[in-house]
Amino acid sequence: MSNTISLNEIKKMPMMGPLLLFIVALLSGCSSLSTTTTAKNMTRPVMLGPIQHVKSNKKTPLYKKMDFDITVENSIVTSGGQYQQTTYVTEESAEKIDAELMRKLDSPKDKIVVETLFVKSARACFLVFCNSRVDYSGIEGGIYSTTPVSTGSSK
Amino acid sequence: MKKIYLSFILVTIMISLSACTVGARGHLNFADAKYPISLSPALYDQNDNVLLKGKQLNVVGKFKYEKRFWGITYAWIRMSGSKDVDEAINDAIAKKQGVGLINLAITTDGCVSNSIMTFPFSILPVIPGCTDTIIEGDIVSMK
Repeated sequence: MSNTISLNEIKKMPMMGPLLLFIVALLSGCSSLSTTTTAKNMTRPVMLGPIQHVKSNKKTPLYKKMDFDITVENSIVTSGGQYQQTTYVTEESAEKIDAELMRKLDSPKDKIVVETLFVKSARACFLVFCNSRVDYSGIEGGIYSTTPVSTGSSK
Repeated sequence: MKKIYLSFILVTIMISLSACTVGARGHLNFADAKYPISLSPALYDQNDNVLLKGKQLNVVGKFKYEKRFWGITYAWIRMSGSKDVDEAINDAIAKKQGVGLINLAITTDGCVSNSIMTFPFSILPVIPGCTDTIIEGDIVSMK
């Protein structure tokens, strides 16, 4: 008596086909692609929300110098046809936020104000095959000056 | 013969609809926050001087909040707000008698249910998707 199960025997098992498809569908979504947004390496405040000072509701007049929109993305996108498949993998880390903000700051007195912090996760699938997974998070905001700038607009 | 054509058209439509995207997006702007919040380890005092963690700021507690954002229609339409996050931050800082939150970090990851939903229900044009988000930070007080 053999302990192995042949493919024909598996095929004869009731509901095995749908079950296998279901397991494949589940596994395709189980790998993690988390992204993190932070600015832990910055030595200047990267402010969020309406309160800009400790123990004070004081509003300092700010003048926008430039906008920024920085995204940290982790994605796997597979495309292709019958003979060739291409997989594009994007892996970005939270340090991208620090680097981009540092690049945009041109004066030590400039202030960084984040207006929106956004997150998104999406899976694109065709029947049971998920060929695209995208997770991203990021920040939108502006670099402000405390003194009027010639081309900026007042906040 | 008409039945064959009709079946072919129906199957084509069903397969086309099954190629879809499931997910969610969320926005946080901390509009109801009562304390200063920073993504970096620094805050401003009343005179716009920079206060740094370990120098002028002392960590008195950790903040952690888990939030699930829901969305429909290929993650375009947002179904979850973020007011509860602001309230959780305000409560946590007040409880620790802190003056603000620093080192804010948002980690996001798609729910496993996105893939589960995709497979059997992808034929439906409107499928709810979600993204799991962990919001963490350090509650600080003045030294």
